[in-house]
Amino acid sequence: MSPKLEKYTFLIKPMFFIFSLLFASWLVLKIEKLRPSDFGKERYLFEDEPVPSIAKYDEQYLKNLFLEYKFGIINSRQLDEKLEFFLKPIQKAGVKKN
Amino acid sequence: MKQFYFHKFEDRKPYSAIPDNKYRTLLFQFTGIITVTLGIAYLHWRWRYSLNTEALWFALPLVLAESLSFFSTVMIVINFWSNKDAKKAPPVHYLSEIEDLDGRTERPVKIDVFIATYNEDVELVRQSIQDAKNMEYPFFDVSIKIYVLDDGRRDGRDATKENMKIVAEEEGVEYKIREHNEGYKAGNLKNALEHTKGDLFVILDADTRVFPNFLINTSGYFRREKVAWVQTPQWFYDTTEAQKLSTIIISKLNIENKHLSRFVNIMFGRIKMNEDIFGNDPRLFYDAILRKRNFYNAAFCCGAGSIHRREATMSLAIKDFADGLKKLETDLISKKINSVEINDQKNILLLKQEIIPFKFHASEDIYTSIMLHADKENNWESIQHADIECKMLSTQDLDSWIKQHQRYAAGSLDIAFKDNPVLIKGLSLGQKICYFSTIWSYFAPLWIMVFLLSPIVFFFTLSLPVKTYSFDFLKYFLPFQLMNTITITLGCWGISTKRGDQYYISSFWFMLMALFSVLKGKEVKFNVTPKGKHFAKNTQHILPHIIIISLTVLGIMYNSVLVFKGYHPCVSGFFTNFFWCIFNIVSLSIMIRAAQWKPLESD
Repeated sequence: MSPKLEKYTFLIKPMFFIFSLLFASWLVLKIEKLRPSDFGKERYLFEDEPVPSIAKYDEQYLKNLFLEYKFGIINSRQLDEKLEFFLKPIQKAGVKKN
Repeated sequence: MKQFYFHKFEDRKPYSAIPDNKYRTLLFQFTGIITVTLGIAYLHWRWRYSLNTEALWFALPLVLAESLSFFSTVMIVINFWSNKDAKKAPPVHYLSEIEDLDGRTERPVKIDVFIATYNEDVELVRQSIQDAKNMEYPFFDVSIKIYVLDDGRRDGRDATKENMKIVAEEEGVEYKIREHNEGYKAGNLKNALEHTKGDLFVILDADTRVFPNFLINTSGYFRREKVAWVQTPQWFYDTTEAQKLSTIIISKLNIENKHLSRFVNIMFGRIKMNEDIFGNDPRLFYDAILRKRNFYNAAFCCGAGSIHRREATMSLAIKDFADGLKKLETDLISKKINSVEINDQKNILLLKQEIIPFKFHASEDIYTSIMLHADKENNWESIQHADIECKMLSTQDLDSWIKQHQRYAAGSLDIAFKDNPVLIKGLSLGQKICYFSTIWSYFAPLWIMVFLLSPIVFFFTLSLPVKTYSFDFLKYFLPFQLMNTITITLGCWGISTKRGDQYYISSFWFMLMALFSVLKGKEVKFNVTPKGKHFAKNTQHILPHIIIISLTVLGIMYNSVLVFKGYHPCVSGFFTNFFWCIFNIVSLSIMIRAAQWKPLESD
């Protein structure tokens, strides 16, 4: 250490204690803001969420949708709306992945 | 040669002192600050938001106990804050190396070794004498005299007693007695100081066996003229050995069948237990607590295994003597008594009053240390030496253990009520905190009692001390506990705290009794710790432990039924208290095991 800096070495300890105190205070503030809903907000920390597979998870939903259309429970406009609503997050995830 | 139970431990080697590490100290300070901050946040939440207002009778004692316990944590962080081992120096030769000659002629230093005894086996004392005689010193002209200070007056006058005087004569050491036991051990040492001339003196108990390098490694510290005493760690080399669980089972169940014994060995042979069953190993105290007090110049004397500067001890006695005279004079002047009568009274006092170097008290060592540290005219320093320089015997049964620890507790509490170090002028802030920390630890049974009873109260009243054991409780409590554990681990680095923690909890009842006895104003008696094994039934000592464990188990069973039937009003409360109870039961059970402990026949 240069002689110029050496006369300031006495500051290292107080600075260390101030840093420790600030860190501890920051930690307390962070803990105070924690809510149960914060857990699970980020399901995947190191990679993108995998694209949900239609065939695997939502086959039944689609089947039901088409059966409702076939038996006239919903009309073509409603089918379009429901399909759009269903496909939106899948398309979004696909774009993100690309 | 008479055979003692501890002869089989003669080959045991002492532990090495934990090397100082500045990065570990910095890490401890960092985690210590975080622990204290998290603790404050937790208690803030507890007091402001968590109290169950519908059961304040339960909520308030618990939160108060938690706050008092947290105060102990703060004290520990301050106590362990830093480490400052004293610089070692070569052994002293001449008087001028340790004090100003002030016109006196130069001469080699004189060292006295005091072995205080009362009723211990004379053959046990003989071993201590022999080890003291084996002490080495590089300068042949330095006089080292050994004195047996026998407060039991075993000089042959009473034929029913062993003859200590003959043993002293056979070993070629000095033998000193007095005709009364006034002042207990402190009085015994006072008597010795009146009849000896050593510049330095070593205090040993009847069972303290010094290593050959004791004086070589400790006398050099006195080159610093302000050093009043050096305390070395007390190492108990006869603590109980770990036993295989299989051996215990075979012995207790008296299993004689070979195949069955082999099966038990295969099943439980790897599990070991009962190591240091009485929690006697004082390493945590000497290597961590007391050693770190060097930083504040607040390491106190613990009696045996210490070396003292006569000048310091005597200066305190003379100061007390002068203060007594001054007080008398002031009192007489205030009563408007004429000067002739004042002089007469002073002369009477001069003739009557004794010079008392060690405070006449059951905890004479800590009391004298406080007074020496408070002497601002001389600014005396103390040193806790890191390495082990002698070995001692520990208590070998629960009854002796309890008596010894109750004396420590009652002695320290008595000082707190009569001459509180916080109020004594002359002590630095660090010294006040350290002494107060020692005394504060003896108030622990007050909050430990609450911690032990709280789950039981919950189980049988189904009232919660907190509004709910919710996410908020966990988010404040868990980080604090986690950081607390990390901080304590760093502070006690390399030292096992398991037994210490268990005994801290399980000794609550005896410490509580000691506290009540001091509060009642009972005189604290100096019970000589028995040196040997006395396997009496100690059931009366563990009755409170059995009651608390039984109630806890009953409570768990009752609440389990409620949970399974779906009637329990607070399942999260049940699980929280369940885990809390496991900790309580494990801690309390050590005392029950200690009360039942006996060496196995195979030992």
